[in-house]
Amino acid sequence: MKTHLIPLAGLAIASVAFGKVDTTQPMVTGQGNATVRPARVMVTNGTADAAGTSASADKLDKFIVTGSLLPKDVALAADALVPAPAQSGAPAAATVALARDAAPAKK
Amino acid sequence: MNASISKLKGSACAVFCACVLASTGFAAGLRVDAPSGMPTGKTVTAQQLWQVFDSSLPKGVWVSPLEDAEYEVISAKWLKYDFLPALKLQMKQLRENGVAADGSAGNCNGFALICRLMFSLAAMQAHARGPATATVVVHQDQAFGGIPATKEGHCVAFVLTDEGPWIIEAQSGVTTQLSAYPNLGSIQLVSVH
Repeated sequence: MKTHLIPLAGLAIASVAFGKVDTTQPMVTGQGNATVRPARVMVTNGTADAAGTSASADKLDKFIVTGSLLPKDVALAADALVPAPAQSGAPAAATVALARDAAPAKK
Repeated sequence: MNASISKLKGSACAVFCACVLASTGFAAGLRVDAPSGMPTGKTVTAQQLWQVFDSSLPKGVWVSPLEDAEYEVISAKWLKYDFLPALKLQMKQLRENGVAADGSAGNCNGFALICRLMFSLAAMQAHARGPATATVVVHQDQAFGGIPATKEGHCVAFVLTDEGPWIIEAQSGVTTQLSAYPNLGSIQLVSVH
């Protein structure tokens, strides 16, 4: 219980010690509220720029996520350790269907 | 004779229907399942969540506006024993569906968002406040969670637990305390909403 309380107590102290910012506006760590807006677009699936690097924190016009996937051999090894759904003992609490619902069961 | 024709018509109709269903993709779609029983009651204000970011991240990291007044702090115990097994199963199922592909929605960004969606679903069912989670854009300078040091933009999930801030590599379910995250120094942006 003590370990659970310490971080929250730390937060309470921190909120008193630090100056307040308007959290409804963009922020920059170490500075508080941003004086200029960061990115008009957040580029995903983009490719690296000509220099082969992603946007740096100094160049606040866009953030490029080129996308890194788990290597296949690592994914296979990780998946092998995952128990089957019936054995996990954790029934689905909430589900969202990302695509078309399954066909209704035949009577 | 009439009976045979009728039977043939019935068979043709069944085949036609099957073809139509197959061509329209009327099969089970992708699903996202979240674990139940998320403990509630520990919250932080938007100001306190900002202080977590400000005090634990390097200087110069952009943090998106925090639109909620309070956020739910996630139980580390529930995270370890309920959420992470569900996340690993979810990722396995998505990979089995062949969604993982560079240059598509099934990239690191998409998987990090799925991780956050699972937190949100669990919080909704528990009637909790919005979970204190975020998407983190980082330059993958160091290997972590099975992802090699790609030296390019990457996306992971952030979660504020009752044991402090953690990073989750959504694709593998590997976690670490934020302070021990090998790419802490190359975090670029934190998006809470």
